[in-house]
Amino acid sequence: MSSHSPAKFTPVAIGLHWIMAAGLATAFGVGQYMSGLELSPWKLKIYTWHKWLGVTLFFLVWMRLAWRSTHRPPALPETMNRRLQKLTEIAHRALYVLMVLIPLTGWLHSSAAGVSVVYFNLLPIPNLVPKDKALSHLFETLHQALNWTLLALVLGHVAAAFKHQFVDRDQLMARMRP
Amino acid sequence: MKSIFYLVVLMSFSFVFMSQSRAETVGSGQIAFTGTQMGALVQGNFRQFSADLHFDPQDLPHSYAHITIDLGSIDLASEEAEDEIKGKHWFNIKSFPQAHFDSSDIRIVGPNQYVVWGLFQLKGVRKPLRIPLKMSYDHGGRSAQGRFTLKRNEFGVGDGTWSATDTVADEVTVDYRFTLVP
Repeated sequence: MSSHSPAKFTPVAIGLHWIMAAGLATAFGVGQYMSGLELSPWKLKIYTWHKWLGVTLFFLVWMRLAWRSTHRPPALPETMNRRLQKLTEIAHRALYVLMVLIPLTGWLHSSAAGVSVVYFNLLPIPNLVPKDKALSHLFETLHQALNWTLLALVLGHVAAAFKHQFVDRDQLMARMRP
Repeated sequence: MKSIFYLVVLMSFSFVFMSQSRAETVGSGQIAFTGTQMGALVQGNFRQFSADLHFDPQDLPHSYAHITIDLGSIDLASEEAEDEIKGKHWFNIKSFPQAHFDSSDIRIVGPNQYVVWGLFQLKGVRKPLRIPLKMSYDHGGRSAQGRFTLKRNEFGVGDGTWSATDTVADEVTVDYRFTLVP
């Protein structure tokens, strides 16, 4: 297996990884900030920008999944034991699942709240469910819970990358260097 | 034979009942609206309103519509938005709990198509309003429905920082439908 796998991620995979990392961090930060705001025109604006960013990330994650399914990523270091390799694979899969589910629950929350989204004021995004306040609250809670799960996983992901870089010194991070 | 007799009696009674109750009561109805926020549609509706309607296509001068909407019954995206819109910058329901529409003139403009003129009162502002009305006859009942556009700033709905229309548009589309029970 490892003899056929490349040493580095493709430039497209690297680009998508870092663009999404920046986008997810921004969307998370904006999401934290905006939910505490008093209702005002500014709040409506920032909610709209958050949704546009979410739509962008939702689009990008599908591109990323398509790319990943057609381009083999470099193999994990053979110094990692089987269990750790398995755990890493599960964590990476969970990251992808969350990157799909988080924008999706945001979209469902907005739909159930009766607020449609027009992407960059150009492309109307259809509402997925009819207006329903209870459903809106449910998706809001889910959206938040999934975000905290993502944050925990991303922190683990970063910690693991640093461990490879500074403890194992196996140059793993070089595979993802832009 | 006896049962047919009873049936005829029953039918004639109901005919009498129908012809006497000239003014229809509203069986069911819906008053919904759509606003635009940052270019995206936002839906809402009012849960409570009363509609006193009488509609006779053969006698339009005596037909009328009196609608009263309890603004506090607004159903919006979130409780936060509902609290805001009930507040002084929007409906100010403490001072103006209801909106009223009273028709003054109904005219036919096409087959089953009418225009209802009247006065609309919202947040202490009274303005003439022209409402299109389409009658449909289905399943033996009648329903009146239509759609029109209001400008919220004409009524001071959303004042202060909200009056700018780049975030929340001035135009609000209203959709209504009433089922008339004879």
